[in-house]
Amino acid sequence: METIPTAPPIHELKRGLSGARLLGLGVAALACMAALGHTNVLEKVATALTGAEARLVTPSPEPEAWDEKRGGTLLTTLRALQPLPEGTRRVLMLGNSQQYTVPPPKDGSAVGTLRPRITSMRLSASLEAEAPGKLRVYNGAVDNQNFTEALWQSLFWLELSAQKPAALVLQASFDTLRKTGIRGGYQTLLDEPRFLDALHLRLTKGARPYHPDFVAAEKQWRERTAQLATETTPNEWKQWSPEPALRAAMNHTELFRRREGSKGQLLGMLYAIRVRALGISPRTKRHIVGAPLEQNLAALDDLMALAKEKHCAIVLYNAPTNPAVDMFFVEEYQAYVEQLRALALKHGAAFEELGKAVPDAHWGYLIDGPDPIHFDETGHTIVHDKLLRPLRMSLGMDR
Amino acid sequence: MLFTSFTYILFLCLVIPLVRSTEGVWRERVLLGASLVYYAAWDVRFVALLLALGVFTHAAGHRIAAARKSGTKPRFGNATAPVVAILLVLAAFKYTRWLMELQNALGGTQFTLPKIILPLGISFFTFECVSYLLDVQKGGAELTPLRRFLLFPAYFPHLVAGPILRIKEFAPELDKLRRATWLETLAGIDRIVIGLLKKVVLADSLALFVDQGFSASPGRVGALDAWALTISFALQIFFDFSGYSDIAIGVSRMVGIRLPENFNLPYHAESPSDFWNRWHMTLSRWVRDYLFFPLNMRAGKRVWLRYVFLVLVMSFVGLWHGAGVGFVIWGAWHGVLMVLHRVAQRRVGHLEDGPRIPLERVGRVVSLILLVAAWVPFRAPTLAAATAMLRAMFTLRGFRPAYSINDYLFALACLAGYVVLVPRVERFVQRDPETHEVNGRTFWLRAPLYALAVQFLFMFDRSNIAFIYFQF
Repeated sequence: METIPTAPPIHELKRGLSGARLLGLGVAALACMAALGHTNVLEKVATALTGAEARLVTPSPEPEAWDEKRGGTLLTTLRALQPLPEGTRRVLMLGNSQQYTVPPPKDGSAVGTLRPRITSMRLSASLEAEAPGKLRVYNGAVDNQNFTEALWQSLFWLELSAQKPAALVLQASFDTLRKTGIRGGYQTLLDEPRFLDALHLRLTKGARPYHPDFVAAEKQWRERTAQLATETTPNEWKQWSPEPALRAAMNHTELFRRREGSKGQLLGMLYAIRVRALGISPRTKRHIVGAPLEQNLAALDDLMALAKEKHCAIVLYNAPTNPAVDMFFVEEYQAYVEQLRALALKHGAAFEELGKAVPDAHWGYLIDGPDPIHFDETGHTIVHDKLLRPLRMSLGMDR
Repeated sequence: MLFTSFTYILFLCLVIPLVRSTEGVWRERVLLGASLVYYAAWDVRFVALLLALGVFTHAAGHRIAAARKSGTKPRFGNATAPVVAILLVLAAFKYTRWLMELQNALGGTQFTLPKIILPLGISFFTFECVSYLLDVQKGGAELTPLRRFLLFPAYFPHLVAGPILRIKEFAPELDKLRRATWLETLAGIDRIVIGLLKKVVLADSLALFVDQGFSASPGRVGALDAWALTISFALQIFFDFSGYSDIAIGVSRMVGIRLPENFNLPYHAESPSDFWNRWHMTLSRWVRDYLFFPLNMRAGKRVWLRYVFLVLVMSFVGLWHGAGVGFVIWGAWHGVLMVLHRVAQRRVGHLEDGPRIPLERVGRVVSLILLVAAWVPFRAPTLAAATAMLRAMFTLRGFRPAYSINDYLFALACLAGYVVLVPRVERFVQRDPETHEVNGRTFWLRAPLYALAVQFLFMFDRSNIAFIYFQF
């Protein structure tokens, strides 16, 4: 039986601890913190371990055309969008990082100077050429955006926005259907009272598998905002708290200010260790089953129903997968594609099966093999070409 | 004012030097003032409740002590009524709404449910007040004057989530209240850092997986996921609560008051009873001394009645954790496990070593599995969800992992950390401060280690997620 032993006898120390020595330790610790904040050791280790993978290229569309923060501060991003001119409508694209990244050239050259044109930019250009000033494409993709989050974001667009999108282009990536939950950046939408009302209304319309995620997100948001603003137990009683001011002051220190970046680097490092030591990479074959899959498909179903109710056209497409990577179990994947097809039929949406649309020459490369998620500019061109026609038809431009 | 907030760090930076710079009565006054400010920072309205309970308990204790001294027979109004009154206060805040919900559900009534705010730490400080009255009744010393007594329930490091103190251990600490040595201060800082890492880095990260898994549709959770989630929650609640206790003990050590330990490697327990000697130890001894032992005396030689009392007492422990059927089931589950263990022990205990030792080992493994599984009704949002999850766990249906591989790997890493690192860390933090090495390199090694710990705390900061046990 392992237990904690009782305290050992007091040793006779040659010299006890003085206040000055303890103060010296405090000063040394502060110096180490400053050094850690400035040297950014984690980034160097992460880059050394992950190599080119850490450098997926993201383009720079105009701020009005995409969510630059990728869901990090969703309410601020959406509120900052300028109203569209009279007669102009928006096409909203939702999906994961495949929709806004391009892998770097395999030789690693010219990464900093690349200005790739991604699917949303190409669609925007094509629609503009055909109907000038009539349509704008907004890329609302976020890394690993699951359908619960996509529905959450769409509640804002379709229930609250004065200018509801004319069409919704939904990317379904089988791999992302393992993800559940509503991340902190999305929870910022709850700061908008009308969003909260819309959410509560939805929660009263019978139980759905993803509802616990909605409830949990609201709970987390309430806890966080209560603690940041008043630090009282959750209630209407408001008290002053120095916490926001203290956090703002802490932002002047490098170590605190760069904490999110540092965490990203730490996770990158752990990811590289996982790939190298355990051989588990994004290409590893995995099951997509159970509660997360059910939640995501239910959220997709409701998202499409909501769009239909708001007279918003829908183009649903199955995201391309790298033909060189065998990451899903065939029956599970086929069943999923059939479910997408059935959902599209149910809601009168256009459906494009692009699973094998991008040839293996156009995919990126990870530290241990082909990238299963991200393809190059040619890949984006292919996806654009495949989506343009159904999108035009959905918008009534190609009768 | 969460222990993980900058506000609390600022509060400590102000209070600890102030405590160190005062002596005698003034030190007690500073501590009491700081404790009330600390409680007011949560919700100033409930400071009056805390004070009223303290004054009431002190007065009741005085009457009991006076009656005892004069040799008069204890009357209901003197001895039992104050205890009942304190428990009624706890019940009013904690169980009224739940009881009305139950009545509406079972009795078909239409009571409008009142909105009752649960005062922070009420479960802890009411139990301390009750223990004081019962101790005085048994002949224990009173704690006077009122100022000193009020520190007993209100002392800020332990106010909101324990450890649950007994007057016989707190009064001597107040009697010899002195300035903490620099070694004690260093030991306190070590303990706080370790507690923060447990809470912020481990418990809160595990919470992400646990929260999403336990909120999923119960029918869709397979055996692998159900076990992974339950083990993750078992680790989460350990790191959360023991992290909290580490911070409380560490802060108190810097003040110069030693608080009792609350954890001793609970999942290393050899039996269900042993688990309660290692998990929330200060609650266990409260229940043992004030409930279980008196009831056991009443049961006398009727073994079956002892077992019934054991299950009832453990159900009460469950109810103390929260107003919900899941908590009661969790408590009763532990009670039943303890009874089964005692029955098995009676049958196996007299066997030769040959058959006994393997049987004991099997019993230990089975106990651990059932102790971990007991967390399911505690954590699951509904009884239906708990039932579905337990069914999946014990029918072993579904071995396809449904969540991100990172979640499983992190849970595995935490499990390995618990088995390999936690015993060493606990040995380090629980030793006598005088044994800390201050002359060698290890002393200065703290500087980069503290810096690294702070970087991790910043990285994993999710704007302060509340400790699980704060809600009890």
